[in-house]
Amino acid sequence: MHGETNEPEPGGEANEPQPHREANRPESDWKRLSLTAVLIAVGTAVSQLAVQPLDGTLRTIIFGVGVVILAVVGAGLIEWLLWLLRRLLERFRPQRIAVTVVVATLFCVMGVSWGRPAVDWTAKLFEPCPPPVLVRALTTPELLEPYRELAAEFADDEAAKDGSCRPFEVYVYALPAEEAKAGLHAGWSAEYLRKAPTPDVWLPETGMHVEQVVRRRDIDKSGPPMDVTESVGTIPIVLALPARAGLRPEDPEWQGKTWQDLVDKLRDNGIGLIRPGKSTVGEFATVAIYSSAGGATRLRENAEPARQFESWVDSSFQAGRYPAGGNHTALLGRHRELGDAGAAMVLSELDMIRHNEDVRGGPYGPGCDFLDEPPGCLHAVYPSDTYSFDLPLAVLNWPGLDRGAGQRRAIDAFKAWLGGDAGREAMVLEGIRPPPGTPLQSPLSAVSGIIPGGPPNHIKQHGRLPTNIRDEMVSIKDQVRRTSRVLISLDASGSMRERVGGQTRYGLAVKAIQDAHANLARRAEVTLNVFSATIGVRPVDLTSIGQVQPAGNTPQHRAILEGMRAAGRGGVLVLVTDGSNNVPDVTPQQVAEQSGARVLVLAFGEATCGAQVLNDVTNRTGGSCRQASVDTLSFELAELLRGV
Amino acid sequence: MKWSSFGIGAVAGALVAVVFVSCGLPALEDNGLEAGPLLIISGADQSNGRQRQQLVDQWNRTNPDTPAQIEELALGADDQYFEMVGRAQGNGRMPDIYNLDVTWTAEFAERGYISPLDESELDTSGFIENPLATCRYDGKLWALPFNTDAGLMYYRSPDVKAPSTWDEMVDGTRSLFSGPHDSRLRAGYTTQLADYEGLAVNGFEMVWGAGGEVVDEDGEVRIDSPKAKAGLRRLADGLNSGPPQIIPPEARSQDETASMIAFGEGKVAYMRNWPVAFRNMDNPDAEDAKRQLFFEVAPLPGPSVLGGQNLAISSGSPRKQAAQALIEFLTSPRSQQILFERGGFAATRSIVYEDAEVQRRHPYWKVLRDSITRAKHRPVTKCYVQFSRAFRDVINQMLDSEGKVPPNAKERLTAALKC
Repeated sequence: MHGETNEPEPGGEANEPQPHREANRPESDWKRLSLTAVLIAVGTAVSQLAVQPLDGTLRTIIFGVGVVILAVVGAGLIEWLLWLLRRLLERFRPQRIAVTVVVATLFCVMGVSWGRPAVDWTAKLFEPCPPPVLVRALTTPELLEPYRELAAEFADDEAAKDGSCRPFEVYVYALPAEEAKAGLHAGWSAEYLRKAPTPDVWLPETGMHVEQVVRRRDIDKSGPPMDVTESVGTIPIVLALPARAGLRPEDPEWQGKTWQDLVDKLRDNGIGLIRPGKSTVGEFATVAIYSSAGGATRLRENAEPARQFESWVDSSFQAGRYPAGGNHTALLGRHRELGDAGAAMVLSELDMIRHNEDVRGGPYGPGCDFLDEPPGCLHAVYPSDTYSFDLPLAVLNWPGLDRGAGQRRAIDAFKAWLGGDAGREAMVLEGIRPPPGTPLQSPLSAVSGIIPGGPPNHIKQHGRLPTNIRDEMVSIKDQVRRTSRVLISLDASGSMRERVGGQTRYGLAVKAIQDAHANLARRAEVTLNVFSATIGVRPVDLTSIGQVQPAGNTPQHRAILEGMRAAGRGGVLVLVTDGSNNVPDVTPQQVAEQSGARVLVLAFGEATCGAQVLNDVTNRTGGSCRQASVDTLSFELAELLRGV
Repeated sequence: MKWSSFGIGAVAGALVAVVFVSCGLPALEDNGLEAGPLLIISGADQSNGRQRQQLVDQWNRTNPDTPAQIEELALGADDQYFEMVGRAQGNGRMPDIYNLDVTWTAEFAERGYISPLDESELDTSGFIENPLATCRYDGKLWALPFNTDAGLMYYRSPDVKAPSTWDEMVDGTRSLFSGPHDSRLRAGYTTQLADYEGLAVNGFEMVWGAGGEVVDEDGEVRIDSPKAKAGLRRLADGLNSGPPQIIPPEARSQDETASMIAFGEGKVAYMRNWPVAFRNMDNPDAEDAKRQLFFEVAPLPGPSVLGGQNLAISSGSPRKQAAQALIEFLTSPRSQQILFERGGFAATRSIVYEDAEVQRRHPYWKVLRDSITRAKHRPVTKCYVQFSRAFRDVINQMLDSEGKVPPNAKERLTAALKC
């Protein structure tokens, strides 16, 4: 049956010529070879799957192809395979096969690469609402609330245009201006990512801040290039007077005078002045007041007027027991407690409107417009030489980030909305003055204690505050306020060796202290201590503090006791610690009996502001405690030192 | 003949395509994982000794070809959410793994920001059922629970006793104020009522504590039911009570840290807070921690909101198998034990709570485990963030108007639930 006869070969046809070897191969050979091939394939598959099971369709296909090739070659069927290929090439047209191979390859690649996106895209067509395109907008704490309201209003307006879906979402969040600028310079590094999301848009209070970032970028190429819209609205800095000042509507005795005249008038009337601590409002007012007191040149020659002014402001704080270094929220909180007995305040018009809304019991309560007004109302006086926030909008073009078309559209739409009628009307409702031409209404009306036409009628100061003037005036202020003694006492116990990323807790705390030192040293005499059971409580300087090796237990009570004694009456002890006392050499009672210095505590790691001794000592001495994490040490220490 | 040629060409083309596409895939290491770095984005690690980072360091030592890095985001939940969404939309470095708040899992799954896990080789039997359920959506498993959380009632001991109902807490406050008491005491109870997710959490718990629902099992908003209204009114009544004041007005600006400080300062006798407050007010490593604690913990009078975070694979990750392996490592029994025992993160695996050292270090373990088991889920919806915002607006309005739930509250919440 087999032997020399022309048996049809596998895949072949009986009447066609066959290669010699295959033609003569007995059927038992084919069976044997086929069986060998199957055994090789099974063996290969079993041993592979035993070692490492396959994962995924693609890998299974690749593996299958490999097994077949191995089996065919291993069983000696390669010649048969070549014969089969030759036969196929003879029977079919190679050009046609080649073209089909190319086309099929392309289709398969497209299918594998674009299949899922195509399915997703199709599915999105039938989705009721696609996810809104997100824009992250950074502003300052003072502007957070109005900008959040504006962002929500914008999203609602866009949703109304687009049926019921919200095409865009603007998430507004805040960081203090100094931190925002530093974060932009740092390319929103990991340190800043731990504080806030990476911004797409920046909404600072003043173009001076934008200018500072641009100037620095020009020098060292740090920070993102920006597309800047100069101003979306304005907020003037005002003198907010309590009712006992006897102010009348459009009172010519007060309105349109210089800051210096108004300060003199307040002093004549026995009314103190409260100025927010580290804030742009406080800075702008300081510059304006110093300028009208003679300007930088005169104050450089004789700083006495500035010193007298600062001393008077300090006595105003003490008389009303306003929180030293407090921001506008803390100061207005105290002002509410004092009612009409409160001092005059430097505020942004927006903050004053919001304060009055609170004392009125909401926007529909009795107005602060001199007629049966509730106690605690403040009234705006517009000094002729005051500055205003010009509210720029900067689109941040981060290097290496290709902003999607959707987000570009979202940002353009937000800018256009803010500049359009709807945005400007919404701004008025939030207490922000839009560019001229938009009618003003409540809360930019007399019921809020303001004069709607106040800025154009009374403020003569136009243009942006120049950075160099600001720097010079702030430097004079820091110099004349340099009165306090501050002792910073840093925990150097063993737990401070704990590593955080590439650094120890101790290293991070030292860096925070070094960061804060220069600024603090401008206004206080600063000394440093470290403490641990191994080294005791030891004075160090700015260099040697970095060379201390943390070790041993935590004599926290002793550090407080000795620190308070060293700082002395009127001084400030700043305790930076990551744990609790575990050296029983000083009792809580001894700490409680020590008086004189004010104690501020920065607690992190395992330390907590809730600890009884820390809590007692800060409360008793009029100090405060801030809870920090290792990531926020620099920021929290700077915040804590604002109270010095 | 013609069709045979096409057939052969098509098969050959498919094979070429497979080889071509295979070449574009990340190289596989011996362990079958795609080589290259893995990026996790997560809220800041608040554990004692940064145990998450320590686990990642351990992973990196044993998997040098797939080194992982944690990029930490701000502490605030909103800041984390919007940074993660920004990244998912392509604005910033795309992560391989998101550490998602439990309430975001549904949205990230629905929006295609994350990929489902390959369940075929996963053993999920050791996880506590409640936190694991937050990882499922639409019939698929999208994440594994990294840590879980439940609210606890902290009370100053021996001044007051553990309240088992809201009324007992109110009575305890009145009784405390009626006798000689610490001069620092200002009110009975504080919690997190500032305008952030904490306010929504407290809203849910007050409604549930009164036997009501905010959103029922069928997805219907039930805010206008008498029980739901009664629950919310307790907050308003507490704020407007006095003397004695049940809830201090400052609670409306307090978050977890601020309320913990107020409790630590002795201004209140009771506080609702997460377990993190326990380890912040007590340091088990310090020698003086052997002293008698000034507080104890008990379950909340009603069910707590179930908190916690889930680890999910970014759909944009080119290293999904490596990412899944890392997630499995971080949620393994050993990792969960380290995170709880040393770091204080409540474990998502039940076996960890049986460990003697864990029980020694965290004496509140039983209260915590029971609270987690009976905790309830916030609405599972892709629109949770919008819903939470609307719910907070309703609560704020209610608190501003002495407990009157706005008449259109149901409509507003229903609309928010649908984005």
